[in-house]
Amino acid sequence: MGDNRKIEGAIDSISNLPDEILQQHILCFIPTKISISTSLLSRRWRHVWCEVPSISLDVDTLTAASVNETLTRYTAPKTKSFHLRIKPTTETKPYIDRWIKWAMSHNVESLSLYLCNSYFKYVFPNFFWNSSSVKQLNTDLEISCMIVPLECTVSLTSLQKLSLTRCSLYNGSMAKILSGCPVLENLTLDYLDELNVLDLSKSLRLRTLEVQSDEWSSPGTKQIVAPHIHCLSLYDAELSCTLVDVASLAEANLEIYCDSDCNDHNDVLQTMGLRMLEKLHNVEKLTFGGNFIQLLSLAEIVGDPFLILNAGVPFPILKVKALTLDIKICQYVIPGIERLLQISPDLETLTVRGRTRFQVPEEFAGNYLKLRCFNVNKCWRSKDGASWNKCCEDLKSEHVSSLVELVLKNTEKLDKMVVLLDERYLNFKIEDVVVPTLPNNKNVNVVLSNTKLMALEKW
Amino acid sequence: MENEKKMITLKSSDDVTFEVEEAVVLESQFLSHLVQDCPAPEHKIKEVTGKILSKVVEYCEKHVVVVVDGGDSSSSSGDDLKKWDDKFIKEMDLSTVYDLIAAANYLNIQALLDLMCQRVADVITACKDHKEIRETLGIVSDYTAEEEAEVLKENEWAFD
Repeated sequence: MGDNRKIEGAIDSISNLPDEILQQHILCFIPTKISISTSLLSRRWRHVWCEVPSISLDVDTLTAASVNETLTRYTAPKTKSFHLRIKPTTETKPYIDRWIKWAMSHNVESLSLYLCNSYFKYVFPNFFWNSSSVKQLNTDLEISCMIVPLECTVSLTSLQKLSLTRCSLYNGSMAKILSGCPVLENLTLDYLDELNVLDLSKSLRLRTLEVQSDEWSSPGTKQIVAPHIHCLSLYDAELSCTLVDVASLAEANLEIYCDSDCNDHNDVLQTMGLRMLEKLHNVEKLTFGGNFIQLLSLAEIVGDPFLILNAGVPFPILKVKALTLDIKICQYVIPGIERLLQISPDLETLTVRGRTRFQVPEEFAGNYLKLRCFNVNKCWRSKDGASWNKCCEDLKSEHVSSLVELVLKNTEKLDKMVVLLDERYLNFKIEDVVVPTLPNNKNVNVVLSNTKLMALEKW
Repeated sequence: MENEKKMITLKSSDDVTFEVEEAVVLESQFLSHLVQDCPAPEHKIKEVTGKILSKVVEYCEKHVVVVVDGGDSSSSSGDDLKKWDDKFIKEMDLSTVYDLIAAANYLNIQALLDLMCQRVADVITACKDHKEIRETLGIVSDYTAEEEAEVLKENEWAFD
């Protein structure tokens, strides 16, 4: 690390900070094991760790005995947050139960459990599902196991935020959890497994729903009934979810990952994609990922020839005002974008972020179109005849100009367009992009900027 | 509508003055109460030096601007702000960080306090043992050799 870490003629000013700062603002961000080692720093620090309102235990680096010892020495009256990472086995199961009980008895508000891969099927004890203090609960199970015992009732009366990752869910257990969480505001589910109907119609306070469905299941077979949510984030790899009711939705973020070049399957996906779009027609703030836009491109190109399948699912008119596209600019997204703009008459802001989460390999779309007997050399052009780069590495400044022109031509109410370009792929200077001016789009503010590819921590 | 921006002058313990917009002052809970309760044009902050106050003002000015035009979607403004925060903190030595923690705590600027404390937490987490933490953070041990051995024994379950 740099020299700035050392302080010349050090005055030990960190030790002069009040306990409250050291405990509640600094040590609470670090693993408990390291926190304990601060007791060796100086007399000032000897007992500071004992009252840190946060416990974070990683049983890969600690033994069960040392965790027990830690909890015995720990004297804070209240533990706001408790994080445990452990591999469940027959030997550790009683400990896990005991530690969860300990956290509950300290009125923990944020409980986070990461149970690493093992063949042992851990089932949460009944008391895990009964607490009036827990406001935030995260569980990440690498194993598939039934998370709510059949005979158990759920009562988490303060729970506002629930995140279940890789938990084995089925309709009954999810319904049980939801009915026991009357003030739930935020729900994250990663891996839907057996869950076929996610009915949130009785969760009156639920505003934010985030679902990731990576597993293979047939398109449209899982139903989401969420009339009260305002914000939806859906990564639905195979478009397995159907939005049955999202009447209050104001903001949505959607991405897929289907790399099937099988004709029939892809046709079905296009239909599902259009149905999904139809369900989002009232939403004012939308973000779409590159794979979804590519699917819309195919639907746009293929269009009429499979009217039978697409019967009754035309492109809907959208009320979107702010649209964000997480795409890398290339030919495969152009027909989809062009169509999206044409069906979004109220669009005011368009943002193109040069990033894509797990991009479907480009050849899949080409193969699909070849199988459908399309001339792949011609079909990717935009309506004005401009041709586009095949892959994002070939992006040239004129393609960016063409994109801006395409957007200006196809929008009426737009007042701002932002294009962020990933500087790793940029073979030209951003200043070289000529921003076209069109007579009827005088007032559009076009902002071009290059950016480091930001990790898609949230897509 | 013409928006007349109200300006307020802050004076540090060593009499360095900063003229800032009222919105900037409102980032601090402490100052916003002060400004409301005593509407003078100049406020002396005896607990904070000019060097530190300039950093506080720099941070608050940046964060005010973003909140104002962050209204129009695109999380790029959020990303930009995070980048700015990273740079802000990277250029700072730890003694400035401590002083800023004390100042942010006193002035009650939660986001700045969190940012600075997270930096210290990251530095501690990156150290391999207590000796490195001591050296890095400039902590002078006042333990006698016997006492240190005793604490080590007391907590030995936690150290491999």
